[in-house]
Order: sequence, then structure tokens, then C-alpha cells
Amino acid sequence: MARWRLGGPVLAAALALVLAADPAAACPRPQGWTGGANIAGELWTAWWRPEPAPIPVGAHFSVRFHLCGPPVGRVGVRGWMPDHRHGMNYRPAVTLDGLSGTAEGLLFHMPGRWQLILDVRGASGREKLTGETAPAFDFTAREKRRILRHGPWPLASKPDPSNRVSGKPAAIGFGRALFFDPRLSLSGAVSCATCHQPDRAWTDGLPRSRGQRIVDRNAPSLFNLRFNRWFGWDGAQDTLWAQNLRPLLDRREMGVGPGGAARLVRSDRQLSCGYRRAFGAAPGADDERVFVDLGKALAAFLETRVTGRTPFDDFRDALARGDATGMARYPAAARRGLRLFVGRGNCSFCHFGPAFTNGEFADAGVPHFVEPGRVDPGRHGGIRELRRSPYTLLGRFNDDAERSTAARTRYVRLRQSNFGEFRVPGLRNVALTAPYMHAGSLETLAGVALHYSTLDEERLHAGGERILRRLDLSARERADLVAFLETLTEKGPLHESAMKTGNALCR
Amino acid sequence: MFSRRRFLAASTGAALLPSAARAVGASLPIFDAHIHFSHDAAGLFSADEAVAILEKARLKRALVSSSGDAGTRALYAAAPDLVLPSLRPYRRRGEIGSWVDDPSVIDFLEDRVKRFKWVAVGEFHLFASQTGKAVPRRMIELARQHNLLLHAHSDAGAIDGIFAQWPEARVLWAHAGFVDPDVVGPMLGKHANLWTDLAFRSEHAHGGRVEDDWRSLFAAFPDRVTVGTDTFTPERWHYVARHADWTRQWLADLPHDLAEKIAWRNGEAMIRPHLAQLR
Repeated sequence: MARWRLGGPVLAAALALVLAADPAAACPRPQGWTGGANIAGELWTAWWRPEPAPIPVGAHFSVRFHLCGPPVGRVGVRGWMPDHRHGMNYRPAVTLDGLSGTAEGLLFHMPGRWQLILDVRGASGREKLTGETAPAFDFTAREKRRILRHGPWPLASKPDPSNRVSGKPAAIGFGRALFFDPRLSLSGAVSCATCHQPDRAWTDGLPRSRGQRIVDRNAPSLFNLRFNRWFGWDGAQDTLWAQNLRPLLDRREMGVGPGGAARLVRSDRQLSCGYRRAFGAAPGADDERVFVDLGKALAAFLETRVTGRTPFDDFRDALARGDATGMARYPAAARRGLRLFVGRGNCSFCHFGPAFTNGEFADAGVPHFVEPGRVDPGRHGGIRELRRSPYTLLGRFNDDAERSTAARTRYVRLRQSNFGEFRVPGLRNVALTAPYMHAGSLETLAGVALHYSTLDEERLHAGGERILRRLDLSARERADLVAFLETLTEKGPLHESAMKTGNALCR
Repeated sequence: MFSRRRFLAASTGAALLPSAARAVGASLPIFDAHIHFSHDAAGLFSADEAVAILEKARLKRALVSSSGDAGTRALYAAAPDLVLPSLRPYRRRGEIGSWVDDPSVIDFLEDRVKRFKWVAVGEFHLFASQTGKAVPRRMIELARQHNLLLHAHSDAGAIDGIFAQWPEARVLWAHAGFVDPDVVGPMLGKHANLWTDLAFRSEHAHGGRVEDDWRSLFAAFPDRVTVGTDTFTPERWHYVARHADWTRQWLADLPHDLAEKIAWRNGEAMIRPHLAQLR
């Protein structure tokens, strides 16, 4: 097997298949083959395998094939680039032995999407079997650099210096208990988990969430919050602990407020004990101090919700170490979608880095009327709220005397372009967190791909650099983009529901 | 010409003003030189509702242009003392990039100029490489024939191109060209009939303080700067009042006379020679 040279002009591709329903059952893999690809037609089904594999770009290779079906008289083999509408510069020679054969002298002279076509003729008829070659390894050096920036995963992390109980097990347990406690709402019926349900990837599946009343925005997932710079769709909070106070203050959400929350913790034996274990002292008489501490315990719990590895991470790491076999496991459609994501789509410009977000805010051309006559100002309102809030890194509740993480708050600037901007969300586990955008206006990932494909550029201001462009993606390209996004999601059940059943805080 | 010496002198002069001379801008009326009431906004709320928003923001005047002209006409009919109608060469917002190559735009403009009264043409998007094209040249010619202000979203090259075609033109440079004061200043120095609007700009003020390089520009050209909201989406109509308040906040950091000029007097002076077109 030829080695794939990462830095050279060699591009390798593994053959992928356009599969009919379980064709392998009718046409088993030829004896002695490992790898190879299967393609089913009406008359014949073919197994084929490039040699060397993966296919190098700019070097000759051969294809071995085996057909299942009626007798064959002649087989032609050629390559085709459907996006460029041209084929190879070489006409391969085919030798046939019954239903098996070899084509020699093929050469893909440029990187990109190539199809391999077997033109099969026999007494029963003629059929062209078209297989997609998977351009797994034909990323340009620039694309490769961009892909590698999305890892490795998981990220290293350290405790939040603004939160003195960050990372402490007792605080994590206390925070978990608080998260599921509906007594932290005015009605006694709404908990954090009402809108952030663990078995729904910490969302509620609704376009706009309903706490005690319907709110203006979609409940985002709670994964990977510890890596955020700003919190909430508008970034009105600069810490996770401050963000946790927001629903407790907002009467549409839970609204218990500092006094109600502190009284509950002081009066409930379990919560009072949990507080004491987390913070090393019984809840004091200062309601606001106790209230903020609840936000910090909740933050300690939420910091633990970090997504696991995904098929994309396996591919990305295989790409990093030049492991062609590892890369070949990544689906062809996802590879094409990834190329769009880091290339023409320019998605990685904002959905940057291992968490797939630059942590900032953007106007993605999504209307932001809440209802007729009322607008969600987005980031513009968030910065103004931040400046009014006592619960920021610049305030007295920051446990870090050095204010070592406060630069974001100290230097943030209010801009006219902030009006209508919303946080660029991370994309890990994105397939589990529908609906999408700040008010859940797009039901599916396919809808998101269509939004950017048909983007109304006139909604975006014409001044300055135009990052977003109408992408005009074909249906297949949109499907590829979705296929890629789905590989950012962990495989298998998340087991987040287990979070609901905690032990008693104190016995 | 806008020289560095003049720039520094202006800056120093502003800095030496006693604090008592600084006016509080909270009560200033505003001439908003950059309002659109395009088809998508006009489909969401009525002209009366739009006028109520402008009045609530305490605007003295609003230079209004719209993609799809109906919005401008409806606003002008609803509030002729408040609204200054400007003819935009776009029938839909999507024509921002295509109008310069679309001869039917000329038919549209000629028809509208005949049928209605205007004070300006624009806001149009025109860049240096496009100023020689037939459609923008004819548009500028129409403006000349009817004594209309030109509201140009342009780079500096296109502004030069407009004045090359029509040296007596009066031009409002939208967004101050999205360029820094060291580019705006020389342009204002070069073209005596050039004004700027600061719509969708944020760099000139922060936390109620005017940045030094902009302060120098304002002091050097006190009669040539205006402000504007730019309601380029329907949602931004709900930003008009907030923008006016923000503007008053940073204007309060300037000497009263200068603040008043930027707030509304410059806009009034800029538009005055064109008001006869409305009679």
C-alpha cells in the first residue's frame, strides 16, 4: 500500500459507494479483498478497489473490479469530474477475465470530486455504474490548516478564577441539586431543567422557551459553556455564574430573586447543608451574597458538561497524523461538507476553533422582531445590560482579586452594528439542539443550510467587509453541509439524563 | 486643504474650552440624514407609525430615501415638515449592486422626477470603478438639471468622480465613506460642497466621549458633519430613538455651537438650497 505524503503533491482518495439497499448481500466482497467499494446497478453490482489505495493525485493508478450479474462482454473504465464536466487525460486499458478485471493507466490530474464510471456491456444490456471517489485527502494546505484548527478535542480547562468554588466536587453536587429544584421559581413549578432538559441535550426543543411565561429567545444547549467568553444570546453576562442569575431574576423565567433564593437556601436543611459543604460556611444574612453563590454553584455544575469526541474529531486527528486509514472512515458527504465549511461557505470564519465558535456576535441576516412593534436588540442590548449589572467581572462579586479575566468587560465597545447581532453558537452536538438561531426560527439543520444558501444580503449592511455571502448551494451541497454538521455530534446516547438523579446533599 | 497644522490647531482649541462652555446635548433636536423606509419596512408598519417613531426620537428633520419609492412618498405625505424626500435609484433593495448596469433605472428616475418633488437623489451605492458608467452619469445629470443633493455611499474615488462630472454638485457622503478622519479631512478640504453623515459609524465616540482624531475633524470642519441612523432593515426603525439619544450623549462632549451644528444646523444648511424643489 502506498504511503500518503502529507506535504507533497500527492492526493489520495478512497473509493466510496453509492449504495442501493444492502447490495453487499447479493454481491459479497470478493474473496481475499480487504477494503474496496461496492456499487449496485440494475443489471450488475460491482466491487472495485484502487491500487494503490488511497488514490494519488497526479500519479497513475489501477482499479481492480469484480462484477455480480449476467455475463459481461466488455467493460470500460473512466474517471469524471462532474463539477468541472471533464474526464481524465488518459484512456485506461481494461483486461477482463470473466466477471473480474483490471483497468490500468488511470490518472486523476487535479484534486477535487472525481467519479469512477464502469461502463459494462453484455448480452443482457449495457449499464454505467458510477461510484463517488471520496476526496478525503485532497484538501489544500489552506483547507487543512483550517480543519486542524478545530481540534484537538476535548480542550484542556482550568477552574474559573472568578468563582471560588469552580471545579470543587461539593459545589458541583450542590449546583446539580439547584439545577433541578423548581422552588427557585416564583411559581414553584419551573426549574432550570424546564428549559434545559438533560435528555434533550439541555434544550427544550421549542423555538422560544417557556418558563413561567414565554420568553423572547431559544434555550441554548448547556454544553461547553466553560469555554465561553460571553453568555446568553446577547452576551449580557461575562461569567457563567452571572448567567445563572439571569433566569432567577427574570420573572418570565424563574424570577425568585435574591431574597427568595436566599430564604429558600437558609430554610431548607438539604440546601443549607449543600451550601455549607460547597462554600465552607452556612449561608449568611446577606441575601445578595447567598444569591450570587447559588449562581457560582450552578456554574460549577454546568462546567462539567463538556461534549465528548465525535466522528469529526477522529477524522481531524487522523488528518493531523497522516493516518489515511483513519481518514477513510469519515463519510464522503461529510468530507464534502467540511470543505464547504472551511472553504466557500466561510463558516469557519465565525464558527472558529475547537468549540466551533469565535465566542463573539454576528448579524446572520435573521429577522429579530419579537412581535409586531417590538425588536430584540441582541448584542446592543446585551452590552448595555452588562454595563448596568452589578454581577460582572468588574464588580464586587468577582472572587479573583486580580481581575485576571476581566479584560473582556473592561474593554468591550458598544457599536451601532451590535443592534441585531447574536452570539455565534458553538456547533458541537449541534444535531441534537434544534431548533436553531436566537429565536428558534429554523427548525432543522437543513433549514440552516438553506438560510445561508439563500441569505438576503440586503439585510446585512453594505459597509465594511462582507463576511456573509449568499452561498447559492445546490441541494446536494446543502445535504453535504448537514452531513458534516452531523459529524460534530457525539455518537450514541449521551447519558445526560443520569444528571437528574443525584444523591442527597447531606444525610 | 485639510492640513496637519490645521488639524492639530483645531484639536488644541477644542481641548482648551472651559468645561462650562460645553453644552449638555440631551435636548438637542436631530437632523437625521440617513433614514430608509423601504418596501419591507413599509409592509410592516404604516407611515403614521413611522412618523410617530421619528417624532418620539425628537428628530427635527429626516432625509428619507427608500428602495421602492412608495415608502418615501407616504412618509412625506404624512409629515411634510419633518420628512425630506430623496429619490433612490432602487425599486427593491436587491438592486444595490446591479443598478449601475441597469438602463431601466434611468426610466424609473426620469419618471419619478417628473411626477414628484425631491430634495435629493440617493442614497445610492457607487464606487470609483463605476462612475464612468452610463446609468450613474445620467442620474447625476438628472440631479444637476433638478438641483438635487446627491447622497452617495461611495469610496473617495467615486466622490472625486462625481465632482469631476459635476463640479458644482452638492454631495452628502454617506457613512463618511467608512474611512478614518485622516482620509475624510482631506476630502472635505478638497471639496467645498461635500458633507458627511456618520450613520452606522461608532468609532468617533465611546462612552459619551468623542475620540481625539474625530474631535479634530469636527473642529476643523464644523459645518460639514451630520448624523444619521440608517434604517436598512425594518428592525432598525426601533433603533432610531436610541441612536438619537446616543448621538446627543456624545454631542454633549463637544462645545455647544459645534454640537448644535452637527446635531441639526449643518443638515439644515446643507438642504436649504434644495428646499425650493419642494414648492
